[in-house]
Amino acid sequence: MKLRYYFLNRALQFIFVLIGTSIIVFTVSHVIPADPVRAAAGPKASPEELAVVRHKLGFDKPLHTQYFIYMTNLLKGDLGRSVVTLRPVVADLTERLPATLELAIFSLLITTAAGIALGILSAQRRNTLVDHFVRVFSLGGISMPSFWLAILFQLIFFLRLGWLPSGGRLDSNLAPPPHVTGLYTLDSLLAGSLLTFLNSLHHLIGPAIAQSTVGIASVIRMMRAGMLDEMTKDYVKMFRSAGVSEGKIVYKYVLKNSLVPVVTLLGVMFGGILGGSFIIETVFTWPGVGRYGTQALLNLDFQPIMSITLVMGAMYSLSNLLVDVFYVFLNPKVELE
Amino acid sequence: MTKKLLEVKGLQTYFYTYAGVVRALEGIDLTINEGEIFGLVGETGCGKSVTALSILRLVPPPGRIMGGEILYKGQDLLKLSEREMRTRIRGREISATFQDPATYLAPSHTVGTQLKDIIEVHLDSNELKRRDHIERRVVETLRRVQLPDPERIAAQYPHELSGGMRQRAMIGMGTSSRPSLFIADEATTFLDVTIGAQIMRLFVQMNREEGTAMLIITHNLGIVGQICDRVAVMYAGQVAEVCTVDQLFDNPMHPYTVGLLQAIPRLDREADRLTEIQGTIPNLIYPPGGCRFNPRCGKAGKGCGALAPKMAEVEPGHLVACHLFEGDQDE
Amino acid sequence: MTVPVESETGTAASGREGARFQETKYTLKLLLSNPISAAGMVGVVFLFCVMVFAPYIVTHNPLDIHLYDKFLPPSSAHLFGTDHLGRDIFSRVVMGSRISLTIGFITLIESTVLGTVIGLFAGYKGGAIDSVMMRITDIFLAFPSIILALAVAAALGRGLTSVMVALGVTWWPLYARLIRGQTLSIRREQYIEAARLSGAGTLRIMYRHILPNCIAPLMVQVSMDVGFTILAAAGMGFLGIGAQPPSPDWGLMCATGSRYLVQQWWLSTFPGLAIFLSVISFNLLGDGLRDILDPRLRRG
Repeated sequence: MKLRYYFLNRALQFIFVLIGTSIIVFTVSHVIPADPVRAAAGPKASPEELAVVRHKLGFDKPLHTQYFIYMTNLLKGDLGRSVVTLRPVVADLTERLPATLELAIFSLLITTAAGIALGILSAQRRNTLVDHFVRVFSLGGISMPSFWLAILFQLIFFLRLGWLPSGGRLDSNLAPPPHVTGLYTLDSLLAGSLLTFLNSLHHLIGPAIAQSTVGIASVIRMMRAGMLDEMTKDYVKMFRSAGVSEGKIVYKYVLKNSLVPVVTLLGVMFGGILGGSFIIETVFTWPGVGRYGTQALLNLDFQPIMSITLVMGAMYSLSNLLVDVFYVFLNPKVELE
Repeated sequence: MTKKLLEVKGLQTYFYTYAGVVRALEGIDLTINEGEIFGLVGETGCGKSVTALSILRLVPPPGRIMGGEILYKGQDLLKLSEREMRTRIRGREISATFQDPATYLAPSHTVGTQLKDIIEVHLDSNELKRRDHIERRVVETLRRVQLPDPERIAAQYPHELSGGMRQRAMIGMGTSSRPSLFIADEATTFLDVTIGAQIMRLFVQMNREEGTAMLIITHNLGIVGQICDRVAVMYAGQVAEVCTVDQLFDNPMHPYTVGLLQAIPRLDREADRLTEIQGTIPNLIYPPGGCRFNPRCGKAGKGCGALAPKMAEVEPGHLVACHLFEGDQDE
Repeated sequence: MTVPVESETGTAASGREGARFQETKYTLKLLLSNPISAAGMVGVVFLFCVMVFAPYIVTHNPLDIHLYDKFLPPSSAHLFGTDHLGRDIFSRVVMGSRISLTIGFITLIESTVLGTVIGLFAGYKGGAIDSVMMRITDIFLAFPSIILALAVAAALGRGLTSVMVALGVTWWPLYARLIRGQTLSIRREQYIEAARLSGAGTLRIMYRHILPNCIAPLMVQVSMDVGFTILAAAGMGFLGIGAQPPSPDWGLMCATGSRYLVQQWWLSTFPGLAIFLSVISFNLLGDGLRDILDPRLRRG
């Protein structure tokens, strides 16, 4: 019973945060820049174009009216127009979002699987060579600038070894599969084209590993710390005193209780992947939202920058909501907030 | 003719920490007989819990058992392999329940699941296949510790139960395979007085009906007086006195024991102030030499700081570790 | 009969200041005894020296353009080689340390100060103020931090100041949450009640009683965050938002260098290496500090 209230509460919180997010983005786009009109119109706009933009976006009206216009536009699906592509931002984003999502999902999968496995390994073989190696590796992972790692990846695996493609989602001689979800891997499987599937996987490896390196390190550390911490808990002592085998204690009880903070971490990592997509997609020429954003930044193309901020904020909030919901299943105690 | 069940001789357990070596147990001697209820009393930090953990060989790092013998039914537990300890001793011959049932039960699984895992440890492969039989044993164990509606409790999570019920569940887990020695470490400290009394009654019942010997660890002399047969008083990692409960209250010998008993507030005596034992418990990294109580002892003599006293029998069944009661000593 | 009380460390240190000095000395001793955190400390100290003595360490002027010397590979004359404008990369990397570390520290100071003030008030006052402030914090935390920083920096225009303001604006919620949590738990302690009853005002209580107890977890968090801040700033430099050319910002250098990766690998490698080594030093130090300040491992 209490669970229902929790979900309702959480959903309301989500909506509230969404509204707050829109307010912040509005503030950043309308209040902070020295000249928001020029910011919205782009640095190369002529005085006539500026006047048009000023009137159209309502910059001559009071602030709360502007916010109202902004919100109505949002709800209509109007996110402005890019001065680089000259298309509505919504169209640009819809086109590019599946690519980013596909990369994000793969990165998360790699991060979760490898991170949890290595974390368990590290905790089980505490203070042995394996543990030290894993810890050094994970420390290195979170200390590395993602762009540097991506560049090194390109340097080694493409330029020197030729194992991985230089970028893009598919080899240039292959056509993308018929559009169902926009995820090439899924779509090619649905269309039955094994070659396309394998090729898209091949292209995913480089950027996904580069994306996940930072995340893996965090997961390993949290998993290791969590498990070691959990092993000092009293119920472990209880089970040991009753003669229960270490294996059962660790894999049935300690693991489940250790996974809880990792789940929360996954939500944060998704946010990190979204943020890191700017850099990774640029280095690997991945046609996603991140690369679109980088180009927008270079050109100070304001509308896309703000829209991406809003959209990614919303996506991040949604992922946190899902994490919280999933969390309840893992830890039945959470009702007692 | 009472048979010895557990004989601890010269047990030493140290903890190697960043700050130094904590000499938690410095030569503990105890004997628990079959079927008796043995109390272990002392202030917080005197090493009672460490003793229990040492018996089960569950001392966590950075702790290590450094020396001594723990003879259980004649066999030295310290010489057994970890595997033998786990399969033959823990949970089967010797088991325990601990202080805070909130943390000693895993929050992620139901009581029944945890109890089942414990029961399954000591079943052979044939018995493991009989699921319904195991389920019944779970319920029966919970009923034995006087939990009402055991089927429902088995399906609940620890946080859904009250403190008293959790403690009973833990006791059930500890006694499910009818051990010969059951260790209860501060089992009632976190419970209300009335619930604690119920738990105590449960212990007495288990002892009478099944002949389980018990090691009751507590800082509460009242509990000792109510249910224990014999008792050992510990101070700062050393045993001060071992005797029957009657001997403890009627004829305490060791100055520390005397001080403890005097410190208990009494309704039948007039007093303006409570009596206390001067000073504080020592730092176990740099403990006092010889008898560790000597800095606080009103009757300390020249030799007390130099040499640790040996246990001497002052009357049948009554042992004291104090230079005052040794045959030869220098004042 | 009186009892000589054993003292733990054996040194007589009087007063609160003396005790705190002992704590610091003890912490330092522990830090140096562990090889991992010692390495971190060495790295951090080294970095500071480079930053402070940069003008004396550089072999060439970082801004000098020598088009005839462009794309020279690493040699004894140019330790890290030259870039596409013939500038000595080693000197640029050395000078760049000032930029990176400055950003890191100013950002942290901004966010800790802002976050601490907000967290203290929210935690101490409680009620409506707490709710409102925490909701605002939640909203800020709803963005992946880099995204918000990018947006703010873009709105403020390119440049180093934009990056510092942007990062400060995005980082403070973390500290606000931390300090608020600490304040909440300390607020319930009885000595706070006692102080209030004896007439101490809100600010005084906050400053003298609550704040000192927040320092330890704050320090741990800060030591872990320095690395992230430097990375974030480098990332923004890479994307072109931070310090502008010809400034020797490490991220920017990596970005320009990535264009010439095929033939001249050294343009991006060395600035990136500098970032990596700096961040790893701070992280090692932070890890060591956290292990030490963990109360369970410290005492017996």
